[in-house]
Formats: sequence, structure tokens, C-alpha cells
Amino acid sequence: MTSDTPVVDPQALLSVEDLHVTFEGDEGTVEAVRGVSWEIRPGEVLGIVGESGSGKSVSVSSVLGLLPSPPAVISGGPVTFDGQNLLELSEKKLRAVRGKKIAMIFQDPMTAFNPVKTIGHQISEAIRVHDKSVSRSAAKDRSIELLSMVGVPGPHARFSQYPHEYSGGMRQRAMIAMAIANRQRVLIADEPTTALDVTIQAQILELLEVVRNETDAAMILITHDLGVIAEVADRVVVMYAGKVVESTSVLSLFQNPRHPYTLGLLGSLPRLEVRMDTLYSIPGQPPDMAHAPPGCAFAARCSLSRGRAECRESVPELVKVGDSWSACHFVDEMEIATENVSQEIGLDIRVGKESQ
Amino acid sequence: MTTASMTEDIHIALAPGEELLNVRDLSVEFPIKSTILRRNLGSVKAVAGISFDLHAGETLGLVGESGCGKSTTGLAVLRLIENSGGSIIFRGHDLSEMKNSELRQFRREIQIVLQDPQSSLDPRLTVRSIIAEPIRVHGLAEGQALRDRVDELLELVGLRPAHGTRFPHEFSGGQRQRIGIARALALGPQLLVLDEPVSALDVSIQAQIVNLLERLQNELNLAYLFIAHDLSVVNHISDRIAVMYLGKIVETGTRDALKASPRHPYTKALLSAVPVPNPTQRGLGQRIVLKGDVPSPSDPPSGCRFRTRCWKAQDVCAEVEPILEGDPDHAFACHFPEDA
Repeated sequence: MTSDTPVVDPQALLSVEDLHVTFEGDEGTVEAVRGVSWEIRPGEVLGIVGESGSGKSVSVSSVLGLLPSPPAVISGGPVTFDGQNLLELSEKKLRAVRGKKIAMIFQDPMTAFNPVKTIGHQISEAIRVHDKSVSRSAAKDRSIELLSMVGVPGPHARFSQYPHEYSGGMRQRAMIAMAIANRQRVLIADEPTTALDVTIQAQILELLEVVRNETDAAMILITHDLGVIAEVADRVVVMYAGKVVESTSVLSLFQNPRHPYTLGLLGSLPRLEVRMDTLYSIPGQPPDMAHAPPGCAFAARCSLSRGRAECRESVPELVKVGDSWSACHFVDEMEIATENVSQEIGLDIRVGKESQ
Repeated sequence: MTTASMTEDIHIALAPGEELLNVRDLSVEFPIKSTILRRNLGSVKAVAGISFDLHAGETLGLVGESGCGKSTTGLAVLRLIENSGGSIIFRGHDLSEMKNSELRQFRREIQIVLQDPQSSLDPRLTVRSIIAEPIRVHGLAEGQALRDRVDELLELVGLRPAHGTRFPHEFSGGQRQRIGIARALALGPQLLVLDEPVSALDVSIQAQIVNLLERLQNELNLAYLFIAHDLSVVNHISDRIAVMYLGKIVETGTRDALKASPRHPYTKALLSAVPVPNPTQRGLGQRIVLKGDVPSPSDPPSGCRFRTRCWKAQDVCAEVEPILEGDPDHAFACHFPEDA
């Protein structure tokens, strides 16, 4: 085990270092993101996992300047993309990046589209706003081509329809069409399938894969669903209470969880493919971020900590363990903890154990 | 003989496995009205003739996508919405025929837990009043006995009696769901309809509630009608599962039968669509990606309702509606079922 701090990969396409986001409210300051670092390389899928309030969406939205400030206060950084620090760009310069080089796919495609403009108009607008030389009719042709590419049936007719005339799955397709309209290099998908039924989710995941293969875009996938992560991500960042608690390859995450929170999540997952006796349940609930605890934010719920003073008093740093980065004082006890949880739920959590 | 004495026996607990609820040919229609003249323009058959049985102490999972009629079924079982056909027989008594006054004592035995614990708890009542209300309304206890009963219920769902003086907004989503469960248990029911009880919760909290529901079922010999869209959760908690599509049950059976050999193409597609939390299996499973969306229930396809998305559909599927055939352990409605 070494204790180097994560070094930014020179090959990174987009990197975030020590990002902090706080919200000033009437009832005090909420520290939503407390020093988060990650990076994404070209063509890669980075999964960001965490529960409601873990700061996963906020950290990504702040990168694109999508958080209204006030109340949001962003500090730390830099956030590096194309040699520029996005946090220091003017709104005008940021706009040239946002939607042109980095695009966002939101969870709820109903609220993400303007309800009084046609889908076609909105996709064309996304093209023309970044390239004035494109004529209206060329933008229309390109939009129809995009709609057809994402599998919207009858794209010519669909071009002139309004968002409410699309079904949920279709709207998500249209949003993906808009996100790839300018051959963006990074796609940020924030819970892209959470609002969808499972058969539609399968369609959209398949489409994202196709689209990525065609555009070579890197993708940041924010989700709470470890099943989706296992299917799509290359690397994973696990967030808890505004911090990264584990960062590793998707295989290591499922084979060797290096943080008790990750372990808890894996154990609490009901599984279709295997029989388990019971679900592991992480006791308690996430801390109130207006009053974040002084030590490890997970200590009060942790099966490994067992009330040890170190956990309550000092914040664990993200350190390298094997192939992973983990923020746990007692990471060397993870193996035994994993065995205990596996025993409790009647299923060996470490996937691929049998094939090794 | 008065109605009361005629049905008094319904409050005596059944042994696990005895028949509790028989739903037969249940259908629920919602009229479609024009916005101005309120003329009837037709109707949506949200539930189009479904039958199932539920035994004491057992969990039946009702699973399907948005708009398949699973929640409507749950509400109809409680007569919170009226059915347009069929019968709901609770221990030999047909609830669908009953007057409200007769129904009242059956309400003690069938209770519901809703998806959103935020909107299903009165924000102006303390937790204690919320849980005490059904007991008071049914005149089952008062004074100290009522307070003791509420304390007992709070502890049963993993809360402390001291929590009783607080208001719903002071609790997290998971704790609010516990309050909703305590309220549902207040009258000592035999059957709980659980309508997406964990869908709004984060995964770690979801596991707490699923484990709580399993413990309560064992301790109190409860039967659950567990309605959810998440197959993994339904599979984990259910003894038997019924899969719904556009108002019909397309396949039903024991959990193991359904999982090991799904016979209806829709069940097979649904099972294969669930992401597997195991990256070593990536791309190995045979994923069936269904084309298109669920058709509108106001104008369902002729014959088999699934045929417009089915890769096996033939002419006969458009002409003849397949009926649910098989035995209680496994039945399905398909002209061209998958191999066993």
C-alpha cells in the first residue's frame, strides 16, 4: 500500500481535481461536494455511483456551469478540458464547450426539452447555435438523420412533433440525438434510464453503446444502479456524502470491493441471477450534509469501524490499494469484511470467484 | 343473523397456506371523457380480466411495466377504486358486491402501503396520530391501551416510541416508509397490498425495508400482494409471481418456475432486460431487446396484446386471444410459448 495522492493522468480528456461545491441556504451551509477528483480518458466510460444526496450529479453539473450561483459556491479545481480550466472560463466561452464538446443527457427528458417547441426545432437549434454556417435546411436534414440514427421511427414526421407527442423512451432517444448532434467528445448521462421501464432501459443502453461506437465519445454515466454500471462502465467512482470513497476498474469493484460502503451496496442488491438468503442492510442513513461528521462520513453506518476512534475523528484519505483507490482507515480488513457479508447473505459477493 | 356475526370469523387468523384471496376475472375500466362536454368518448380497460389466488402468509409479486394495470389491480382489491367486472373474494366473501357498511370490517384485514411515503402521510399529524387513527376509527382501543399499541407498532417497524411526537417531514424516506408500514399494520391485517413500497428509496435503504417486510411477514403471518416494476426486488421477496402486460396476466407461477423457464416471450424479454450486476457476465447473457413501446391501453391490439412487440407473432396471434393455461405452479397465455 502506498499513500500517494492520485496524480492526474496526462492522457485525461477531462479531469476534475479537488472540487468543492457548497450551497448557502437559510439554515446554514450544505457541503454537497467535499473535494472530489476524477478523470476520464478518450473513449472511456466512467461510472459515478452513489445514493441521493451523495453529490454525484452536483459534482458533474458544476463542471459545466449548470448550477445557479448563488446558492451554489464552487471552489477548488482545476477542472481541465482541452488545456483550459472550465471553472475559470467566462459564460460565453463555457457555452462554446457546453453542448459542442461536452453534452449532457438528463434523467427526465420531459423537463429537459422545451414543451412549446418541436423536437426537430430543438435539435436543429443545438446544431446551429454552435455552427452558424449551417443553413436551416442543412440542420433539418442533419436532425432527421440523427433521429433516424437513434431509432426514432418515421423521423421525417417526428421532426415536426412536440415533446409531449413522444413516449418516454422516444424522448430519451431524441435527447441522445441532440447530445451527439455536434459529435461531442464527452457525453454526460445523468441517470439516463432511471425514469424508464426495464425493456425501454435495455433499448436505451443498447443505443448508448451504438452511439459511442460511432462517435468515439467518452461517457460519464451517473447512476445509482450497480447493474447498469456492471453492464456499461469501464471504471467506477463511488461517492458517499460528497466524497469519493472508492475509485477503481469495474472488474475490481465487483471482485474486490475496497471500501465498506461499496461492500454494503453490493450486499444490499437484490439479484435475479443468483439465490441469496437475505439482503445485507446498511444500518442508519446518510449524514445530514449541513452537519457533516468530523471523521469518516460513513463511520456511523460502517460494519468495519465498530466505533473506532480513528474513524470518528480523522477523515480517511484516498490511498492506492492494489489496483484501486480507497478512502478507508481499515482497508486492510476488507477481505475479512467481504467474507462476513458474503456469509450473512448466503452468496459470495466477489464475482467471478468461481472462475478464478 | 346479522352481517356482523355472519362474518366475524374473518378476523380469526388462518394457518399459513390456507386460501385467503381469490380474484376472478377482475376488470377495471376508466371512462375517457371529452374535456368540455364531459361526453363519454370510450374507455380504458386498465385491468382486462385477471384472476389470481393468494394464500395466508404468502407473497404474490405482481410485476409489469408502467400502465400494465398492476397498481390499479392493487387498488381494486381494496375497493379503493371500483371494478367493472369480476369478483374479489376474501375468505369466501365477495368484496365487490358489498355495501360500504359491510366492507368496513374487511378493511381491518386488508391494508395498503403506498410508494411515496411523502404524500401518503398527513403532514399536519404527528406520527403517533397517523398510526393511531385507523385504530381509533375502528374503535379497537383507546386511552392507555391505544398508546401502548402505537408504541408496540413503532418498535415493530424499527422506530422508537419517542419518534411518535414528531411530524412526517422530520423523517427520511426510509423512516417514512416505516411509518406507513406501521399504520398499515395498526389494525392487525392479514393481507397487505404493497404498491411499489421500495421504488422511491435508495438501494441501501431499500434493503432495510425489504428485510423489514420479510421479518414482519414471518412474525405476523402476513400475506403480501407485492406490486413493483423492479424484477430483482420482486424475485427476491415473492413466493409466486404474476407478470402483467396491458391489463392482462401473461404468465404466472412459482418464482423458481418463472425464472428457470419463462414460457411467455414477454416474461423472457423482461428477465433478460434486467442488468446483471456482474461485469464478468457482460455480453454473455442473451439479451432480448424488445422493439417499440407498449401500445395505448385505450386501443389494445387485437388477439394477443403483446403481438406488436413479439418476435414470434404469427397471423393467429392477431386473431385469437391466447388464454392463460397451466396449473397453479406455472401458467402462461401464448400461442407459441418458449421451450420449457
